[in-house]
Amino acid sequence: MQEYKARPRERAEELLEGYLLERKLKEGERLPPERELSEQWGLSRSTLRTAITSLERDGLLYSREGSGTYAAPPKYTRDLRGLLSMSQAAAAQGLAVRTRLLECKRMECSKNLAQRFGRMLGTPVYKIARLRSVGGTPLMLETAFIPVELAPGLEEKELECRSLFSILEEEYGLLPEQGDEKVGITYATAGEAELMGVREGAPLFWIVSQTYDQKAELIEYCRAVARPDRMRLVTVLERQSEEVRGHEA
Amino acid sequence: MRHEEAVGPNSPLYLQLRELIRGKIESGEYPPGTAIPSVGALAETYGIHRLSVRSAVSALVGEGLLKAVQGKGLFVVGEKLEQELETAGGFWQNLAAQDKTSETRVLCKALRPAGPAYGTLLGIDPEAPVYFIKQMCSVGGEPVSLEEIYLPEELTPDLEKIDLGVFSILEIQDFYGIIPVRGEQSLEITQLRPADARQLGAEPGRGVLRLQCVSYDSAGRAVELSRTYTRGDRCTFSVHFQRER
Repeated sequence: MQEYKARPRERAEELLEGYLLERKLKEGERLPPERELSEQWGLSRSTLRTAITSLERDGLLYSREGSGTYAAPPKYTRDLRGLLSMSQAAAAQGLAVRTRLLECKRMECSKNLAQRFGRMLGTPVYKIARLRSVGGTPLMLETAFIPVELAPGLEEKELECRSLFSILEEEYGLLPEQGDEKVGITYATAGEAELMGVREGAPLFWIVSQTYDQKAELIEYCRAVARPDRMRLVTVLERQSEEVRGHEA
Repeated sequence: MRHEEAVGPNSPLYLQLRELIRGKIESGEYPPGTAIPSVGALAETYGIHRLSVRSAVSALVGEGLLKAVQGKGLFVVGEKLEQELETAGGFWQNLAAQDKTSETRVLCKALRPAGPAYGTLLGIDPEAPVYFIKQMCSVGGEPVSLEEIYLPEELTPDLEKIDLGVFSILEIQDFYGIIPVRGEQSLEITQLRPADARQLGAEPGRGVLRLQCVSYDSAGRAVELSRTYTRGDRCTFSVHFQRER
């Protein structure tokens, strides 16, 4: 069996993460001074500094010039299991969502959109771009497409203060029933960077989702970018053996 | 079943050897996940022809008690729990090349204390030993992801004897009677440390997707923590969602 030898930087990152997890440090709580930590852990100051920088980049810590390093606010957790709207989900985490409507217009289906919605080229669709902020920090830039035929007059609705899904359900009887979401990485364009408060080229989540109603019709196609330092995506994988299923039956 | 034919001193040597090996597997002398002695070694030990050894082991391979791995030898599969697992939810990886062969290479396998970070995530004492496994997954010869796995030693002791190149973690847990039923997954973006980035062939400074999964058995014990770092330019993750009733 190999002897495990962690590289100093690896060890430093693990110790910092352990410090946050074990002590359940809350937003704004300060870490001991770097000098103290590096002595306690037997790490060089520069190794500790590098590790702090990478935890800052990952949204776990933040530093203030001359005053120290603090635990960052918890990331917004986007649970992909249910169909909770962002405002409902954020409220459950004690956070408030602000929505800024950037664009809402009718447009004609391109080839790509037409194929997705199973409609003719040029079929009218709404394009709705919204910037969602949580706790004052821009989190997600969403561009949704919805066929006009399914939700005529959608542009008149209060898209800044109501969730899109609740409007679709309450006003148009479209019940978001199921869907799929694809997640990858993209890099902020100049426009995205400005809106989201990150530098150009910063990595962002790239999220494409499709939502179907109770009749299994595609009602919304949405493309979004989100800040990975402020958001994480979670889900639960369930496995059931025959035996367990048998007991439950 | 073949067991019905009584094997005695007058039975052909290959049959006697077959039953001898079966006995050693059943008694635990050859534990699941480990390699049995090579054909040559068995031939020499018992003074019988290699061809006879081959027929003995090939029967056991046929029964599913042994697994023959090209270039590595013969491995004990052990008693498989009949777990036909149905999975629901969770992220799955989309790879551009589904038809290409995938390969897992173990970079490190070591016993270490869990430490405060992984101890907290696994819900065990920071001093408790865990097996740490680091492996590289490649598809079509190109590295795609780096995986770091932490297994509580208490649940999967003697893991060092098991060849990870032959059995998957799920198969190994099966040998120990561990059935993970629930995995809490979390997807984040991070950057790899330079050495890991080089190994994965990822451009330094580029983001990678980090999928963390803590698996629990039906008693709610954490049985595994894994962190998989995947090149963002090579694959994406998907998930299906449904209205909760």
